[in-house]
Amino acid sequence: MSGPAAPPTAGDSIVTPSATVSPSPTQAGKDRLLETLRTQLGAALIGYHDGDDGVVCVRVQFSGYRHAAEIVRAQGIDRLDFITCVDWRDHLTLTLQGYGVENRLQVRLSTRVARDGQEVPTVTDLWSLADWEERETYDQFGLVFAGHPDLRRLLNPDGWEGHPLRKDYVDRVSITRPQYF
Amino acid sequence: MGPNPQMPPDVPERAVPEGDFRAADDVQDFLINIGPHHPGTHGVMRLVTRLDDEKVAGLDVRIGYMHRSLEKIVENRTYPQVIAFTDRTADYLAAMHNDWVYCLAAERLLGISVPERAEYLRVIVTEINRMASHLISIGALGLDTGAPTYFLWCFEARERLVRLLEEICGARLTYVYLRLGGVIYDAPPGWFERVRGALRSVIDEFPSYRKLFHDNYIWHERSKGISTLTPEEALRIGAQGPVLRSTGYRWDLRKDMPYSIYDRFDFDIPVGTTGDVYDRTEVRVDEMIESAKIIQQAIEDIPEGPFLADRIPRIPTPAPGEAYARLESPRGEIGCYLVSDGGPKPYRMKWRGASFHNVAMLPALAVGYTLSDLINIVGTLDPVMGDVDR
Repeated sequence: MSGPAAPPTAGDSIVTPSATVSPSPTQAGKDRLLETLRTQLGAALIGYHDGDDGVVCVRVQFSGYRHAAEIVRAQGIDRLDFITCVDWRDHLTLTLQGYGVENRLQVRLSTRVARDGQEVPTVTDLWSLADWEERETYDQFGLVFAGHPDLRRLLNPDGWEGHPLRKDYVDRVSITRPQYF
Repeated sequence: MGPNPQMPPDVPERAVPEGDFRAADDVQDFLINIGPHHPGTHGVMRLVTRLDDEKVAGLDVRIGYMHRSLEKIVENRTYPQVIAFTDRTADYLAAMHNDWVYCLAAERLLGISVPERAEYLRVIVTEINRMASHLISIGALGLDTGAPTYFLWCFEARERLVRLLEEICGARLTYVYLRLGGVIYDAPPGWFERVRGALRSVIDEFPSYRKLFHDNYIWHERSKGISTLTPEEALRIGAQGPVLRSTGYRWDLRKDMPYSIYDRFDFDIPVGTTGDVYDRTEVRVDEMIESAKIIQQAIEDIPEGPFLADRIPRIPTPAPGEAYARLESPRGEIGCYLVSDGGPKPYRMKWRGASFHNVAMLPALAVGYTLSDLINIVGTLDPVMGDVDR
């Protein structure tokens, strides 16, 4: 993750729109999204910052993930880019990104998940494409999505052992070449 | 069933066991397995189809037969080495687009800026690649519907475009032409003129394609009104690219969220009306004409200058961070999400394949239509299994 984002403090205004120029749909959508997240999530909102290419990166507590996804969806983020994980060896980071066709607002929502034993609430009812994205994440990382209608392996065969994109996965037919540097 | 009175008595009983082999009247559904090695699936995809009479009542799409774990491979390669994998392992019919989306994400992560001439060359080669890819797509529909001549015509036209790409980078399918910070070769002398000539010859053939295939009565019967979509439905199921545009919804990342230099060109976004199989094909044909327009403008405007940024380290190491880039590939939106931990290799890459999401919405498109329509619907999604399975 790029740099810790400071938690919002009281009176912390994200952007002060210019008095003469009315804010663009993207800017207005962003202000409204962050305002809603702050008021509704409360302490579950860890922080937010502007990422690459104007993406609004929002970090939430695990307990607020589902609620935050509902807020993001309700704010017009109707196109899902991806759902994936990053394995940081001691924990996983679950990341969800999407954008809105109306306001062109891009949002990246991430939360910290334990490597084992923590079930993530599904978002398949919010974005239909989340169905296969969550199946792939389950397949590759072993993250169980509670409430998913059909949580099977997707890319690996049904009887496959282990979850290949975890950093500690050992490939039995290892084709990984040695490091050169 | 007793013995057949018409048969002579010395003929032995049939070897099949006793029993009534017709389905009972109240049992309507049965399963048909299509693939993984079926020409109609355009690759190794398995469709477990539940049929109600002739109609598809349920569909379970099984993928992964060509899974090579691009994302794991990439974690063991340096940033410049990845380009060789993105165009082989992902969507190999539009390899330039894959390389470009990776380069966009990696350049964003590394803070590399691309020279002006390289941007134009990238636009030209990707649009040529888009035309080549669309020609395969509509030609393969001809193959699916019993018009192999049309496929060969399209393939021959594609050949002229692929020759251009071969001339500029030496490869016909897996180009590895884009590099971090630009492109690897400049255009050879006279190449732009040959591009113009090839484009003209391909576009001039479209009226004869129309006579052969697009205005054919059989094709109309097989395509019109099949798998219709409204824009609202299309957005709900996550349609993208030509499938979304065929419904009449004008959405193209090149126009709506412009990347690179696409805001400098004047081109239209062709849309359909009903979103059926016919419209999806027509949208692709019109898109090729628009691509040709973009290429013409890019050739006119291309500036002189360097085509590869200076001082790109051989093994670049970005600061810890993340970057995402998306662009409009022939099949829809593709994206690349890169996470760096400050090392020389990507800590994690997530590939968002257009075909992956297209195939994911196949049940929503195909249920309710007949089994023979299913093959056409798969064809209009234009799935490249390399992009689905990665």
